[in-house]
Amino acid sequence: MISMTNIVKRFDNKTVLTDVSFRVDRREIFGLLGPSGSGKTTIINILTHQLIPEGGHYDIGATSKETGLMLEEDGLYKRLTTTENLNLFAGIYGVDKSKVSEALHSVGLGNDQKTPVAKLSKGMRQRLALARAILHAPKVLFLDEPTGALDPATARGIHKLILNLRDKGATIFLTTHNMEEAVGLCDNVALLHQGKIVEYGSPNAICEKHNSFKTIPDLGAVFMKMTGVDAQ
Amino acid sequence: MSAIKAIFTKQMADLPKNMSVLLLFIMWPLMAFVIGNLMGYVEIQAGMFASMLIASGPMVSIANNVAEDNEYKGLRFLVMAGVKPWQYLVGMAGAFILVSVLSLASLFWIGGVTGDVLLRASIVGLLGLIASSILGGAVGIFAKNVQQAAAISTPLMMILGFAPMFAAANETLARIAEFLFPMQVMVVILNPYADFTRALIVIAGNAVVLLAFFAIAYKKKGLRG
Repeated sequence: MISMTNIVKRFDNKTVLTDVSFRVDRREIFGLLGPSGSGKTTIINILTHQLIPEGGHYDIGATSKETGLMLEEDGLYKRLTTTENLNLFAGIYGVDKSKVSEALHSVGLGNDQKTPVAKLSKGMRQRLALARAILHAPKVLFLDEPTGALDPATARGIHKLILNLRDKGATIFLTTHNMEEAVGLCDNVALLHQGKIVEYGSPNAICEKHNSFKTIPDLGAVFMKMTGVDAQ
Repeated sequence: MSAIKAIFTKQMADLPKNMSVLLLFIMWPLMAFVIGNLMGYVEIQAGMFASMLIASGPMVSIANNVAEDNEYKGLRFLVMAGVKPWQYLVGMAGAFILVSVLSLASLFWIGGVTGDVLLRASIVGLLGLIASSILGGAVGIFAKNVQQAAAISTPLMMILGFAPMFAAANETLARIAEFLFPMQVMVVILNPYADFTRALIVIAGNAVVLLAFFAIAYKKKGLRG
């Protein structure tokens, strides 16, 4: 469904993406991993038609109205309430207003429907941005660091939500720094380094190839156990 | 149509929460009422403040909001959702023009503008609001952020808004102000024998020039968020 073939992108004279190619099938969760500055956001910007590459071609198999987007800069209207923010997009997408409340509940903001965005914490704003991205049940969902500012409990809730969206037929493209998240969520991942894809495949296959299996301490589970906070 | 309606509704929800912009639509009728009752000549005060409202209201509010949407990336998400730049501008300008019309109507009521004068004043007033909106759109697109939009729109508001008032005290200024849309609006409101056709031509001419400014700003900066 999503494909990139030999994409090249330059800013001034600096090449930031070199021959980037990958394919994401329908109903797949695909993770793009890489250090800061490796080109992850540039790839999302190209796929969402915000940047034009110098070479190669790409396709996302969905129109702008069938695409959901959550970026690092949330673009929320600070003076408006969470509901008013989503009402705007419900109107644009032609989605019934009842879906707004549903979307807010799904990200754990059901009790903040009348709260102005300016009064939300960073994590709550991130969840609201996710609610906006999924409001119209998009075919393709782009998530740039979807759990970056969230506590473990909320992050797990968001993971469940992402899996649920995939089960309903959405194709999900996400970037993350969190390797546990990539292993737990993604069907396939690509490792991006200095604008080049250096590894591509399922997390298990990649780890097997590099003989890199180990037991990772699950601090998130301890946090949940000690605080008693349910991950939805 | 749904995008325009959604943006219009969002703008109407935002306006009561944006005090600095809301004041633009409240202060002119309030000043006309207070100053008119304190100093007399309420009809003259209303005409003068109507031209100030037309010069400042849509221009400053649209410039501020477009720049804000650009700076905080709200516009990017609208464009990504399939909203066309013209739908965004029409939805936003529609909201501010509607509020300006209500404010202008209250000024006409305060100044006791009725009959033929009311009809002519409403026509030139509406045209003036459109010209002011085009200028606001151009400033908003051109500005990098809200601060820069304010830095451009404030002196423009002073020049356009105060020109009719200062024109009364200076002949050279009066000759220049005649070619500005706020002056023509004031003349039509205050003078029942004003040349209505000439006023329409001047305001339409202003709108064309401002549209050219808008086109230059749009070509140079675009409206992509």
